[in-house]
Amino acid sequence: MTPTPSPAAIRVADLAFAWPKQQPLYSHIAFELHPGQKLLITGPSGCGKSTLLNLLAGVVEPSSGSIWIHEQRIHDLSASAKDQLRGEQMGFIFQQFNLLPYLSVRDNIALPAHLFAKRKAAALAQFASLDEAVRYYMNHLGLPKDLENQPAHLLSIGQQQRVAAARAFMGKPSIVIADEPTSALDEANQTQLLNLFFELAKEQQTALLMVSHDPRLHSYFDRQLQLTDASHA
Amino acid sequence: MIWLRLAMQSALARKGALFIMVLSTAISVAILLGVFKVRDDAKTSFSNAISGVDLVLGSKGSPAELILYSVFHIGKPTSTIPASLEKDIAAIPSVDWVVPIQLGDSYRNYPVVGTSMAFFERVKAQGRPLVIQTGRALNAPDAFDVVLGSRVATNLGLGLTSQIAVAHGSGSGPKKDHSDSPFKVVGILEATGTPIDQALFISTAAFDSLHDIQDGGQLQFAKLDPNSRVNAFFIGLKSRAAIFSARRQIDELKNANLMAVMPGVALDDLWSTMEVAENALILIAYGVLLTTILGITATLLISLDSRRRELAILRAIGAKPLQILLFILMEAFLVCVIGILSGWLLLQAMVGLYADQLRTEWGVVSSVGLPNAADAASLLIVLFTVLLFAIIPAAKAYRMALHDGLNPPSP
Repeated sequence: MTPTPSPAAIRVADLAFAWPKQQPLYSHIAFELHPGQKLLITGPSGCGKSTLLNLLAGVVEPSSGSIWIHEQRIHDLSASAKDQLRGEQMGFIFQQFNLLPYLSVRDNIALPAHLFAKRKAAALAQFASLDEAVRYYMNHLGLPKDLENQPAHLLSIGQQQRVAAARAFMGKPSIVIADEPTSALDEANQTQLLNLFFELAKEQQTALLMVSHDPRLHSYFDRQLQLTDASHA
Repeated sequence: MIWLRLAMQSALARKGALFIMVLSTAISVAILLGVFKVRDDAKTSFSNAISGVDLVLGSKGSPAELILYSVFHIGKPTSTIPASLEKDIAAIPSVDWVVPIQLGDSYRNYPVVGTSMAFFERVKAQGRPLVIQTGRALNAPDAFDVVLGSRVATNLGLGLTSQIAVAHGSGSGPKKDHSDSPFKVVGILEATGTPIDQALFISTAAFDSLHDIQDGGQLQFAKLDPNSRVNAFFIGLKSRAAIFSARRQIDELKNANLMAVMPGVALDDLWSTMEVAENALILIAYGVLLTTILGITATLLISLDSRRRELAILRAIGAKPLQILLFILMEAFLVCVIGILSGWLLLQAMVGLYADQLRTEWGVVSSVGLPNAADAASLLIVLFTVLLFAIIPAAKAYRMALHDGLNPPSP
């Protein structure tokens, strides 16, 4: 007997989007991403990769089609419910400037747990305290312990990206969306950081969706979605 | 709490600009509270220019005029009453003491007041008894002694044993010099911040004698009493509760041309004539405050562009646009509260430092203290107005958060 597949963390069906009075960026996009799976979205600049992330996060409405996050059709939710869903279920990592520069490394990492009770409960279910959780992620992502109280603006770009990753994974969100998180790093650091992402995603059974303009990364991922100008995926 | 902490830490990260905002708020609040305080304290001090006196008695006319010339030595007393009334008034059972006030002479434009020895014991200024700083009070009714107010001594460089010749007439008009009857300075009063500082005090006998001397004649104190006249009497009662019965009894005295004025009431009436100036001052203070509030709003608006990334990060973490709006309002609230507290502290420090100077130089008795209900209400209005104006940048941040989504422009 075949085991019942777990419900998709993200399910996209027949998605199309166009900015007002502009050509469609894409249409008929469809994919599913299950917990623990990794999807790479690639494409040239301006093809709408970041817009797709905004669509998945519910901050932009599609022209047509649907997006389900854990079987909840995101466009049916109120604005407030979408924010809540994003805060509880999603972690984000951007290309750079991810952190609140005035907060310490610890406070940046713990921020989602402070803002969302569900993320805090998930962290405390696994660790004795938020501080312990912070130290776990720091250790896992290769951040020295003495950086804990360091203000984020004093970190190197590589360290900032690791802190951003730790924050994204804090409190076990079911989805982590990363928008070119390694593009500001050299190749050795890129590979190392990606591997750390994958380890955490596997450990936490997180669906990882990453945007990159570099198609060579596809070998690291389970699946790839190629966007082109006015693409049809 | 997390949002308050974030707002504080975010504000601290921009402490340079926010320090200027807090400073300008503090100065504006200090000006506003200062104006209120000066207004209240000046009014109280004005009402206490003479204290311990329950009634001022003069000839029938304008109460304000009587107070102006007898207490403030302003204007010319136009009528007199017999000095002999002192005995009749003192005989009223509820009257505790009576002090005569004679005016009309001056020394280098400072008024000379003829009074009795009791003046220095009974009359108070700003609620405090008069204190002789150097020398002594008048103690011999028929001596040509003079006690100086502190300003007179300081401004004219007079000291003990200085001799002065008073002039007949007051103000800047023509005077007749009484140089044939020099007075010896025997005492200098401590500064009170009242018109007492700007007057010279001699005995009524000496005052009368100046006007009784015939050309080249000798002083004859003994014959002065029966015909002596004074401009006013300061009256103290055994109990303030007896004030109306005392007035009635004074009205019943043979000389019907008398008027007994309660100085507090007359001073309050006088003060009300300054309402326009008072309102103008308050209007200016509110103008300063409004400018500061607009400054806070402008600074918050300008800072939004540089904070776009910060707001987008918060949004990506799950912050709702409404939370972003509150985040900006919270900063305005913090700036305003810290500004108000600093402004209040600044004012207290100024009052603490300059209380003596205010009292002696300006006649305003002020002391460190908590804001009164009216001040607190004004500060709440300030806080509310700041929050109201801060809705402009907060609403802009709200719209930016929605528009930028998760991809704001890079810093």
